[in-house]
Amino acid sequence: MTGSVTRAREAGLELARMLAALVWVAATSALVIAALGALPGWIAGEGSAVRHAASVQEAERRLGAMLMLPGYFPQRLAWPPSEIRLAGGRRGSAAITVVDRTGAPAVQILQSTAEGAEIAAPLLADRNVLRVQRTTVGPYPATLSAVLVAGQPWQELAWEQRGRAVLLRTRGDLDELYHMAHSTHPGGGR
Amino acid sequence: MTSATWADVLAQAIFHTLVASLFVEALVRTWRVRDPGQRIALRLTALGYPLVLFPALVLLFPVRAGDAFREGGALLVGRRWADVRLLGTGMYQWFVGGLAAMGLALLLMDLVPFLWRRRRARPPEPAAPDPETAARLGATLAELAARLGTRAPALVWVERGAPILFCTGIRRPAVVLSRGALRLLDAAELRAALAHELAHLARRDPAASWVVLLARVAMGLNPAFQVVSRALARDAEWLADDHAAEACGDRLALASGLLKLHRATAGPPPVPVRRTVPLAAALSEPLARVRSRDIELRCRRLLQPPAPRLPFGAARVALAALTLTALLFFVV
Repeated sequence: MTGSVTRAREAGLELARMLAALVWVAATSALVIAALGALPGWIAGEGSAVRHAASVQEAERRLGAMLMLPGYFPQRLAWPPSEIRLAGGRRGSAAITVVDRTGAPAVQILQSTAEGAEIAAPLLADRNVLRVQRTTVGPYPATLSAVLVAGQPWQELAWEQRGRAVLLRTRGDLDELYHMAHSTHPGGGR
Repeated sequence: MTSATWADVLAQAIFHTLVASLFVEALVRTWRVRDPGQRIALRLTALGYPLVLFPALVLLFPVRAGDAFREGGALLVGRRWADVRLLGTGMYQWFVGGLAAMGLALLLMDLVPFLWRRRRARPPEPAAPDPETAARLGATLAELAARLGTRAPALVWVERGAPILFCTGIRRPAVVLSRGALRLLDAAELRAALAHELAHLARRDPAASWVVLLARVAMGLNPAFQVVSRALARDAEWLADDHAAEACGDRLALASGLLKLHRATAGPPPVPVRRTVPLAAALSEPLARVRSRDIELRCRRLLQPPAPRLPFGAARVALAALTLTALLFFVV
């Protein structure tokens, strides 16, 4: 009787040891995997809320909406975009960066894809507004701002079109900015 | 909505096998699994993962390939590493390319020498030992085979001075023995060494070896698969050692025989003999240092009593596979 009780206790202890070791190894593995998953965001200096898309088509597919793009693109800009960042998941926001022929960031187009939604905050991080003035983009009321983005001066136009918030930034001249803004519509000039 | 491409699936298979291998190795060490049979069972979980569990995950859960899962549910999205650039290329591409190149190198490191030897090797000339030796060897093989629960294999005699001793054959199992090996080993060592080869045949290791080699070729770009295959081959040797020691009742004689054969065969053989155990050949011959280390480990094991089997062996394997699948479900 005592022998069988001892055997049962030993078996129970062994079972507990086995399960504890399994939980330990599984938890450590999950932590390492999660850290590896979060590392690209940390390296890029962005939270896990920001994702990158390889193309406009991929961004549209992931957002589930057609992006608004300018139909007018000055010759100095290089297409396709150098970087497309997404935030807010499906029906979230996109930030498209286009560089000029020298490879320097020249135009940024930020937009929300859900009606009435603001542009996702993670895409607007590191932006300081210097001054704002009211203006229009075609029939839409807009604001024209001078901003510092990551310490660099930009001019930006923000308006709402078809219920979606659109923000167009340039480091070029204002005429070009307005020209591009007026030509902006879903699908752009593609 | 599906956003995963075939390249993503291939990359996932490589990364999942890597995680599966590390996970199983961590369990082998944490649980202190010393019995080679149990080590084989656990390592087969890692080896079987890309062949069985991963395709099942991909086919049964297409939701994992969707954007919603990638954005919200996944623990790790491999594609996110494409955002981190090195020399103009995403780290994702570097990782996949690097791991695939490593897998291919590990495969070719074993496959090329094996194919080269097979091309150069010629079958042993038909020969027979003297009647007295033949009778003695036949009786020893029959007795050991009965102890190991297998049929006595044919004896292929090689009339050469070089020590040669191995098992071969899938449909017609045989033990190949040379006069050199007979001269080198004393009676107890020869009996133990023959028991070792019979233990391989009893477990159908030559056939298993071909299956693993084919799987390795199919998983040529998967480095973890290549490494675990090698570890599995070493476990198979340990298991054959244990079975042989049990059958012949003399662990020291097996260790001594192993050491003598290793010392006598270190370096390339003067005239290769065709072998049909590719995995064992691939494991034991290309890297002499690794081989010496393997032999040392085997001898050390044989100087100690056999390792005890851990309780709940089947439950351990089932739990490891279940936990692994649950964990890797969230890695896309």
